[in-house]
Amino acid sequence: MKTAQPFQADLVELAHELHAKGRISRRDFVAGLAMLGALPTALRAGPAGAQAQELVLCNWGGDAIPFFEESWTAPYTADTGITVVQDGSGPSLGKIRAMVEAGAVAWDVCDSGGGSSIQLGEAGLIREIDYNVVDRSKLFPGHDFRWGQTNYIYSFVLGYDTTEFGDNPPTSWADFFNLDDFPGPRSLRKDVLAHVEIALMGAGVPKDEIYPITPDKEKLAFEMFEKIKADTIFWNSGAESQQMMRDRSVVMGCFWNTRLKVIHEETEGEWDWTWNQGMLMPGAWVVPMNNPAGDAIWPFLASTQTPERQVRLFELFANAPANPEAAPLVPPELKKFNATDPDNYAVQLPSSSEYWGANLARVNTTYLDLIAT
Amino acid sequence: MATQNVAAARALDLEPRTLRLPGITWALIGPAVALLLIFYIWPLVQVLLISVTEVDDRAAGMALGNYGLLFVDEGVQRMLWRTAQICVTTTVLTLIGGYIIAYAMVHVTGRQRSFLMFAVLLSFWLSVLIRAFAWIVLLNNNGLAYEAINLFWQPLRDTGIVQGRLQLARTEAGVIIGMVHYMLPYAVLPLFANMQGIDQRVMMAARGLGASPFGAFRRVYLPLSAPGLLGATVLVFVFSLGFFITPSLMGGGKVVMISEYIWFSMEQTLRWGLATMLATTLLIAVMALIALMSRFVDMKQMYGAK
Repeated sequence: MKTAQPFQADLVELAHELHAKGRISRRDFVAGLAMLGALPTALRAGPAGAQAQELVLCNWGGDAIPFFEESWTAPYTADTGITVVQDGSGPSLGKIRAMVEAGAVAWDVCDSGGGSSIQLGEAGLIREIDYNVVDRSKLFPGHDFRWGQTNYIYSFVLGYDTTEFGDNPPTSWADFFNLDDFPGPRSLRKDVLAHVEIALMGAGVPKDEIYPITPDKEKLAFEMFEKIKADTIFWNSGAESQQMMRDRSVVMGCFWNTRLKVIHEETEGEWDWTWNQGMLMPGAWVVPMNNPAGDAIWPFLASTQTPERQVRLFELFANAPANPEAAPLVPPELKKFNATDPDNYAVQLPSSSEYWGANLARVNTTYLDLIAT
Repeated sequence: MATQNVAAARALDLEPRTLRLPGITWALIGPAVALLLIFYIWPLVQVLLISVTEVDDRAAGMALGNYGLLFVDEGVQRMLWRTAQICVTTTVLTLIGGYIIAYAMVHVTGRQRSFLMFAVLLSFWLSVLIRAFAWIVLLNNNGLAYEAINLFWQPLRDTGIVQGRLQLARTEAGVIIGMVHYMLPYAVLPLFANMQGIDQRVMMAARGLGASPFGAFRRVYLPLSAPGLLGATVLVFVFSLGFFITPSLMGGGKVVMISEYIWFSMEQTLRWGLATMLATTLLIAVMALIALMSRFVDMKQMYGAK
């Protein structure tokens, strides 16, 4: 490197000196280096870069930590020498807000969602994604959010107990909301995200006419919830939803495909699901304002778009690749589990993060009021 | 010791009473007070201030700001009313159970008392999370407690008196069972302390003067145990108001109490104005309750400050 790019190397040295004398801030220093495209080299080089050799990634903990490490952070460290430390404490909206407002941001990147990125972005709490570094063409259409980079995709799907229904299982949300032909306790999530669409499909609104969601449609959705509320129990955490399936407290439910896959394997197929009318949801990287590593985060985010790394995460975690180029790399026997496999993608509805970004707080409060009374 | 100290003080030409001057007292407790102010009171005030500085969209333009929501927002009102109902039910059931256990503990032999005390303390020391999960296992369909209760439920269902499958886990009944179990030691311990102080001979005197067993209990024992009962009521009710984990885990998502609502507004919907308003309301309600109770019960004695 040194002999190949002497001018750039010289600039890097200069920047190190200026930074060491306190003439430029660390943020400007890192930003300048990123512009030079010299960041990986520079970070390995001098003492001033030593601090930026560490990125802090916050996710929701549990298996996500070893899985993210194997798919994303370890290969990145191998490529660049930059360590990525994971914090599994859960980057909820409230925590990000508290951190940014207190001026004590410890996270460089958080595992959030498309709708949340809009909520946080409009509140001025997170940074706009630098699409000069992150590649828009490696994302499904509509998933290049201003403040969030889609990192994987998951689905809310209709799962059911095959032992309960035999040859006549529920196949659509209309069946889910039909207590006469499909009796028994069912489960929804105690969070309204994606559920308005599900209720509308349950009321017979065709998939393609769900958006835009008008006040009338919202009202219709809430009437549907009201109709089945007495027969419904609500899950908070993914683990809780699994428990409901295991102890057969419910006969069907709206669950995450990742959790259903685990139970499907555990019960040797007794619990199954349909991709039909599933809600495709983008998980998204968000970068808090004034993140400690500054612009050094973008190359890492771009590296998570690599199809092979996304497929590895899918194999471990069942989170579907956010890069359309990854689907052909998925082993054939696992295609059934891939939410973004072309066949499965086609029968599902990609969620509108614009709608949820603008309305989640309001609709969620109404939903909580409804189910708690 | 005391005389030695006095002698020492005299030797230093200090009268003992100078040590009791308010200035010195404050200097001695000053560090503790400062710590409390800086690390506890001040952050609390900062949080509570948000309730007046950040006005919720729905409260915009209202005279009382976020506090106006208490009077107009039906969702918030229903949630508060539900919280109050669950806490009252929990408190009543806990006191009945706690009174029986404490009464038994006072009146049995030493060895049996140790056993009862051990049982109470054992559950006292278990984490709320473990207890909630244990109850979920017991109350689940096919759980041990479920089967036991179903022995009585099923015949009623067969005869048509009640309808539907028995559902205990993930219902309000489940929440109350879990909460009562958690709160029992908080009722038993103050009641036991109080009852131990009651002179058993007054009961004999009452019986000797012609009272029936129940009359003696109602007219003599119950009034004497009233301070313990009142103390336990405040303790149990105030603690119940703050429940979070048990309703959230055991309520099937449908039992939302004030703490969870505050959490939800902080973390999920970013309605910090609303959340801090509810937190302030809860704090004021709890302090008012304690102030009211302190008129009837010697609080210092209850909390061991005397």
